[in-house]
Amino acid sequence: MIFSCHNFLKRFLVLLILPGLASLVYGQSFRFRNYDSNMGLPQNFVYCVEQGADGFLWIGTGEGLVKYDGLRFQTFSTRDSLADDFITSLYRASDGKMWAGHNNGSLTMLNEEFTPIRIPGTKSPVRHICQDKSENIWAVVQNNGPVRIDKNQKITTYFDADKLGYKLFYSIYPLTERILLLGTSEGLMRITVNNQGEIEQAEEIKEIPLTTVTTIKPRKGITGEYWIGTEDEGFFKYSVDESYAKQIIDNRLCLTFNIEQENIQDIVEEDEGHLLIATWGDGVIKLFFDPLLQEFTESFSFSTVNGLSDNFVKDILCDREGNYWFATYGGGLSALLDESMVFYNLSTIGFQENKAHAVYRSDSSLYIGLENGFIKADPFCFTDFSFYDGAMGVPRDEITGFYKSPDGRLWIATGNNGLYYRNGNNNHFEPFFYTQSLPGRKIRDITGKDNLIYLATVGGFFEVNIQTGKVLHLTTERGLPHNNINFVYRDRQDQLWIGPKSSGICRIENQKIEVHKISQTPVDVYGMAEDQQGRIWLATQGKGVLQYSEDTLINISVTEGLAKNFCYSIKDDKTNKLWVTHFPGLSCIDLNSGKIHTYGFEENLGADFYNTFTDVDQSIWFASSQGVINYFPDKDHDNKVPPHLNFTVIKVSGKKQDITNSIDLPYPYRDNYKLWFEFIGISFKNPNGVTYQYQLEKEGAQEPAEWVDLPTTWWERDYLPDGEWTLRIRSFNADGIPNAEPLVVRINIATPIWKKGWFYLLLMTLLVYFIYQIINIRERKLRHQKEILQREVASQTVMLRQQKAEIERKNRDITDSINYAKKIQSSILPSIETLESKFRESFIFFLPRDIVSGDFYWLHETKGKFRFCCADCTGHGVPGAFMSMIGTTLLNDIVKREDIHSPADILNRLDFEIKILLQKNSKDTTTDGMDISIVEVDLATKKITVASAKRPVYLFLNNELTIYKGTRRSVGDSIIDNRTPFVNIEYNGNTGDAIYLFSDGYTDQFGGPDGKKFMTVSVKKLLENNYKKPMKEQHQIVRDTFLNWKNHLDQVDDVIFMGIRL
Amino acid sequence: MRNTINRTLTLIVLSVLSVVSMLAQPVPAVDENIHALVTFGKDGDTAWGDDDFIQVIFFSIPETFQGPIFLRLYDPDTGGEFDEQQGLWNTRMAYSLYGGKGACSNEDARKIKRDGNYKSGTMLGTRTFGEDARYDDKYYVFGPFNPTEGELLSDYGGYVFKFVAEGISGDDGNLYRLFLSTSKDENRPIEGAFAFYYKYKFRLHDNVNEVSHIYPYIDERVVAIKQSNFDWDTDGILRIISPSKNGEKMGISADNNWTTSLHQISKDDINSSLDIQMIKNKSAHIKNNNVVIYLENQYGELMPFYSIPIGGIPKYKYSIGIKPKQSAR
Repeated sequence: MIFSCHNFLKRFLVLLILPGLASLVYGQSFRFRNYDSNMGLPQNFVYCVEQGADGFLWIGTGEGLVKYDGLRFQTFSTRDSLADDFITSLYRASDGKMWAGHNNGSLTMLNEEFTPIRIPGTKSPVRHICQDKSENIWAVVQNNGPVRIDKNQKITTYFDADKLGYKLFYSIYPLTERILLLGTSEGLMRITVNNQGEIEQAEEIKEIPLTTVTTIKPRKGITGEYWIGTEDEGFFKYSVDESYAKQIIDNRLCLTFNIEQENIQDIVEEDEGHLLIATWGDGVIKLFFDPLLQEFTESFSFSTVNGLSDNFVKDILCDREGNYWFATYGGGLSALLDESMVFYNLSTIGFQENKAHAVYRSDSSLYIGLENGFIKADPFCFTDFSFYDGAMGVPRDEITGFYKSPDGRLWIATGNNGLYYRNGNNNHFEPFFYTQSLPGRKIRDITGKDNLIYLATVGGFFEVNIQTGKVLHLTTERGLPHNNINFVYRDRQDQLWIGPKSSGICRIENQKIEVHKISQTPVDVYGMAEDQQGRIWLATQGKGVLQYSEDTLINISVTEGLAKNFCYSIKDDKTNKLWVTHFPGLSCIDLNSGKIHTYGFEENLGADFYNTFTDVDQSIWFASSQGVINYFPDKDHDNKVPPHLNFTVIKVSGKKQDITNSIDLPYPYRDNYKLWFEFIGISFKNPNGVTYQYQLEKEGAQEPAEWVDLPTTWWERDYLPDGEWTLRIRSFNADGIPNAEPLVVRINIATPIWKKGWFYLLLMTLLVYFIYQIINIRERKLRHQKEILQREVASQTVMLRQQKAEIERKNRDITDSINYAKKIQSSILPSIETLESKFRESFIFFLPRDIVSGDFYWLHETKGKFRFCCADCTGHGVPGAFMSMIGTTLLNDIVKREDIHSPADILNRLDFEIKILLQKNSKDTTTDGMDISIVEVDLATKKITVASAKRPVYLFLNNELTIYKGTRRSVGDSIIDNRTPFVNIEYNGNTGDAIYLFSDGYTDQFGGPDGKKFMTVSVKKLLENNYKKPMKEQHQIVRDTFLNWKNHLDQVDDVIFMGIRL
Repeated sequence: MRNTINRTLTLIVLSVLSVVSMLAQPVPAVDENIHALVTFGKDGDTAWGDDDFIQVIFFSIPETFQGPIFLRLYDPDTGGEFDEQQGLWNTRMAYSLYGGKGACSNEDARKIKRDGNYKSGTMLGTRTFGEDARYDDKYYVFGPFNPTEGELLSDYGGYVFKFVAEGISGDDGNLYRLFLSTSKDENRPIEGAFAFYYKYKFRLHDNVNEVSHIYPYIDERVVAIKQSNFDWDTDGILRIISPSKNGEKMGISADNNWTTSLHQISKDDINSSLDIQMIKNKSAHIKNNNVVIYLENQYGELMPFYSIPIGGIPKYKYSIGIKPKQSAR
């Protein structure tokens, strides 16, 4: 027995009740996470706590305002524009703005940045802040009274001591825009104000005592009713409409506090109506509301004993995840994040030397079996407990199990002394005889059904009918594989199973034993459970957990994640999880997900676990070496609230940016932008379990970008090409719940100049302008040149005109001269009549190219012979005319010579004369001469003698064309080069025969459809087609053919065409 | 002038901090050997030893101290053995603790006459007691308090809190003691903290052999002091022990009146405390003697008493054959 007084008391008392010793102990423990100055708070005095719209936790202390994201604390002070370092109150307005009240009577509004607001006329603390339905902010200043700050931040003070009295003010609640409830140092007041800062009416609420009213909280779901917390009178339920107040008094609640005298600092009402009450000195009291009875029936007390950091609690916050935050005065901040396990540590009630071997809960009592008795306690108030030992008939022995029979008797199984029981109203326990066997009284497990109690003992299995006293004892003699039974288990089908040592399991039915060896090797089964699918699970010593059926054996061991292979019991819960106990620790097998979670020292579950029990509420009780743990499956659910994701820092190339949804950056012409985004997904349930992903997408991308895991709380990129990018960040809480909407920031990096349309336009414009300028310059230059030229032309024109005039004059003179020369030439040329007189059928087509001709014809008659020639002098025009004059003159002279007898003689002589005349005996002289053909016709005989220098003569003799092409040299050719003499060719002509002579001016004339020369072939065809025609007609044809051929082209040479018919 | 005062105060504070030990925070202090503080209900007769029915005590907490502090008030009620009954018990006492801006820096808080805003600053806690057996001979605890809720006055050594006891009704005499503590449940001193007061009201021991003390500090500006005491009932003597004074007597008042006396300060007394000893008349056996005392310097400025003697308890410097010279100043 632990207590020193026990030996004395046990002599007199049947029941040892120890509530008096509970003054130092409070009860059950909870999983608190405490934050103090060692973890980042500026001090341990926390006055208020509030959660911002962005999920951050704001903590008001005496040395600054603290922002907490689950991982880091950031403290703000007057250096950050706070109105004061000392924060006395916090309030989150409906528009998301955070308001902080200060100790120096000022306020700070937080909306992305701090805006200090000074309240005139006071330096007293702002004790409370709230908001009316018109979104006016109301604050109450301790020494002065209420203050209103409207949406335009117009401050109206209502510091009217005459109306309010010389009181202090601690709390405020606006019923309407003009009517306020005011908590003062002397009770509750109802005041009516106007907009001019005047209090029109002030009345005391007489239903509330004249004590300090610390908090006013509206009831959830009940309009017009309020919780009124006081400094030393507990709290009241106050109805405004009914002017009714009722103090909450219930002495049935836990003995560790006196609710009607508590100093209450804050009240939070849960949706179910339960209240969390922050007290000044007694921690946080949780009152459980029974909606049927409409009253509080049970209570918890969170205090330093069960994990709260300090018992002086200023403020309570329930965050968006349902976590509770307690602002303690001196102990920092305490967070209650997980209520799924409640710890009933034996050390907290002075039984630290004991171990809990068995646990049982019935109705409102908790039974804990120890090595030397058992404890009966109030599970809602662990400090309200009784210890049962030998004084109450309970043997000083290990209590291994409990059972409550339908008749209300409580049965306890002992480790060495058999079975004990007590009647419902009797506190004394009596032994129940069922065997004389010593091993049979060593009970290892107990269960029952109705009046049958089943005992697993070292000496076999017992079935005891407590009504009739009939006992069934099964041992190895009856077929059990072993007498030492580890456990007894009743499944959902009311089948009874026992676990004989190292022998698998046995099913007992109608005194028959069905042995299940499980495997060929010995299996020592210590516990059994049945999941929701009816599968059997076994906790074994050394083989972990086995799922057993007739044809299947699945083993779950440390390899699969179990904490240990040595298991001492197994229990299924309503959420289809299996709980396996170890020495030390627990394993939880989630049959839904297949995951195995282990619990050990880190989770404050490092004790040795012995036994488990499931109560009627389906919560599980674990008995351990440290005490008892109550596990609530309903409260152990995944966190469905996604993290609240925020950017915390945005840096571009090391420079902080405002946190916005869009970042517009000019194109980095020098260095690339280094982008840095810090963010935090706020999930206080498990801040370290929050994970992140990002997605970076370029505008206009064909396919959506992939989400990429981020192992950190920042995202950086040293280079991002120009363009419009969208960065999305999303976070997952520890249970994998992501944000519905990711955090989005658009990053617009401007395109460089050279990629912009206007740049192209500008470039084109410049190019055009450049070209234009070049053209312009050129034009200017050309204009300048033109002007010069024009001046030159003008000057030249003048000159040319002068020259033209001179030339015209000279031309005229020359033309005149030439015309005159023509006359002379014409006079030299024989007349056509001369020829026609001898040959009536003849013609001469003579067409000089210029005025005077280089071609000429010559006629001469002597001694019955008529000579005529057609000559083509070198050149044309005046030089030709000179030559023709020379030729004519020489011919006339030559024919007068005696030694001239034939045309060949004429030509030879002519050649000779010309050479002499033109001094053509040296190589340096020109080759001027003439092509000439001379025909001599004997008028009598019609004999035709032809000599020719390079000119053909066409003869139609007897209607056949004979062509004499002439000597292959001209008259006047170089003597040195060609000394071939001209020869006479004679033809016998007849009358009617025709002779044709022509100069090359006719054949060389360009014209016709293709602009070609006429050629001798055409002449030949012309003559062949027309030689029979009359000469006059032929003359016309020759003439027309030539002119038609030439058409508009210039005449290339002088033309002479002669036709003579004999 | 103000700077000089501040410098002086700073020196005092530093000196206090240098000598403060774990004995610090009871008021009356151990070294003072004073029976109890006393405050009468406002309907009491001043002849019973309280001139204005208000007591103001300041506590200074070092800036470096960060834990919660408690002010434990012993026997706060008016009733029982440890109080002075006048007819029926009918007195209500209001105890308040103030911090924040103006708690000490406001001149009204440090004046002899309580006609100004001596309740300046931010009220941190208040409690009114009448006759209440629950608290008779027991402690009522104010707190915890955040040290930073005091008024930060570096010249006074840190965060200053002001305790005001006021007899708001009745005529009984309320005896009580104060303890500044780090614990709610026991008197555990705060390292470096101390108390000071400008006007001191207390009950003398009934035992005629008990000698009580108060320890004003003499800074370099002081050349003379003027002590005023009230309702001493001519009970014994008041004398000064200092390096230069070996029992210089002070004026002592009779019943229900004030008496003042002037005393020169020699240079040997500078920067040390005076030990003003209250020695009862061994033959008169006057009991329940409640008295009031305060000191002013030559400028008429109030001089604080410190709960501990700064620089230690002063001793007279013996000069064999030569009578100590009085200061020429």
